[in-house]
Amino acid sequence: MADNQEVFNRLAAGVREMDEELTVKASYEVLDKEIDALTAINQGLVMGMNEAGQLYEQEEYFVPELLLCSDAMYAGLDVLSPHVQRTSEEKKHKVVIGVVEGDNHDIGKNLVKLMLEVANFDIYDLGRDVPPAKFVSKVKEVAADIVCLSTLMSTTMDRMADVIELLKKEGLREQVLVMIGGESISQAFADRIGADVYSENAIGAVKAAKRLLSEKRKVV
Amino acid sequence: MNVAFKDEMTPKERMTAFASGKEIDRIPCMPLIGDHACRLIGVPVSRYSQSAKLMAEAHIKSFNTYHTDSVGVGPSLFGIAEAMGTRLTYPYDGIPYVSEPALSDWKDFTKLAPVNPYRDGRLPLFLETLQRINDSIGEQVGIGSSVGGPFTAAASLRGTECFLKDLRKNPEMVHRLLELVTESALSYIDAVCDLGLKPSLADPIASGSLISAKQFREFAKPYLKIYADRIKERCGSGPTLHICGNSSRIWPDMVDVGATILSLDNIVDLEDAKKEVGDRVCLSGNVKPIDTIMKGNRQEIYAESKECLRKAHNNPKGFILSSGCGIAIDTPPENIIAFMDAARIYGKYPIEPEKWAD
Repeated sequence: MADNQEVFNRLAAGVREMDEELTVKASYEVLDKEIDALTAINQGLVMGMNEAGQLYEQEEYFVPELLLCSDAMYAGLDVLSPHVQRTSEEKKHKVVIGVVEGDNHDIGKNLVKLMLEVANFDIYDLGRDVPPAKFVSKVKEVAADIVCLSTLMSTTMDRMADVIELLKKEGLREQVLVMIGGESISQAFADRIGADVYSENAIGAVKAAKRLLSEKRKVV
Repeated sequence: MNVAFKDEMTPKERMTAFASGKEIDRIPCMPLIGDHACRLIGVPVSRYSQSAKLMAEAHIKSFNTYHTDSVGVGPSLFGIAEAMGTRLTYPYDGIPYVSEPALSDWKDFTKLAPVNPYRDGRLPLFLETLQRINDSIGEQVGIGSSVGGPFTAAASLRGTECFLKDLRKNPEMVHRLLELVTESALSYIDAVCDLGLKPSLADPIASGSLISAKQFREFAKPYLKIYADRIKERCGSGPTLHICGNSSRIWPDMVDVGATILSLDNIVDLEDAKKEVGDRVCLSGNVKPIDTIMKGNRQEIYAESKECLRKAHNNPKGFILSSGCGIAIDTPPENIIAFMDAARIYGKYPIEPEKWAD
């Protein structure tokens, strides 16, 4: 076990230190030693990404660093994921995410997606420039718990309200939490369009998602 | 649309007096109008962006409607990168965006060349637009041209996500690209100065929301300084410098670059900026362009403008009331008039702080 922990530490360090090579090497070591892949992902890769997230919150890391950490994490996942034993699937919360119609800036969306993935959410990524109807039909199709809408630009922020209107029209608004984020918007905007929450960054998005879900559980 | 509150000086008279520390009639006011101007002549963004005649008509109409203290068009964010080969997509009636960066593979670096501002991309269009605007209203108002900074231009050539990673993975090539971009920008800056006009700088991707202060100092600052030095050499004073997001960590650096006016995002506090760099630089800002100017009413616009005046009217090196970032295209014109009126009513000299009481 102590031996395993040492490998996990190296997986985490590889991600945190943006070292793709180290991460991949440690991932192969997991396979060689026949350590459980899922445990290695959670106690190694995910741990490292969470540490990177903390460094970002402390303003030690910025977006370039997070992007490189995420590259390292995905490189490790490429090696380990095929070896994960799918046992009795614990029920994960489902998140539909995308950049609203008319906007092609997706760095922010990708960071939110990444941190939610790390936090064990099931992600349905619709990409960028996504029309409202596509968000809504995906929410319906997968019975999503949360829909995350992202936009950088002021010109497209009103498309978020369109998605919410359409959710209402389809009678889906009550069953799905709406989370919005992006440079030009604010909590005031979220309140005005009737979104459940605005998050300033990717780390905040995970916290907000968890908080909203636990509040919802209490209400139900 | 009537201007309810008349100005006593023309913007040109006001800004000339302001720059030399002489008495003026009111606090200058410069909302960052940008492509919102196309709404005033009722043409879609895509048509406006491809026609010097329409861009000029729109900005002349904008000036005659709002009487802003500056007027300008320019390559702004993507123009320099576009002129060097990055492909933009022009939605029929939305903001253009980068669809194909010229340098998605570093191997293509040798194919890049510095621009000729009279030939490449839309740069000749901007120069023609500036000429037309200057011929029409240049007597009344200073005309500027917003040039995207080195970091933003380089990111638009390489693709922002790749570029940000390259800061760590490939810093040498990043510097070579920044040098090339700088050479391009200088020739556009020269072309604008040759028209007798003054460029301004905006480097939104060098934002504190994306990169650290250390990265700003290494990758943006040295090149921004080259831009600013050239503008100072040609125009006699340094440019306005706008950086989006949280710029508080780099205010002293922005001043070191040689900016004479710092244009600040609404997420930072004017009072903090005044304390930290106000004795070295004029401040401009920072009413919220979306929540307040686009979505607010006259009362809300007045309230936030008063707040900005309260914080910064006594900035040692001067204060200009402005929006914290670009005005959104679909902002109602009456709201921009209300914003200008806020400067006319609450920024009238001699300043009477009691007028700011709610």
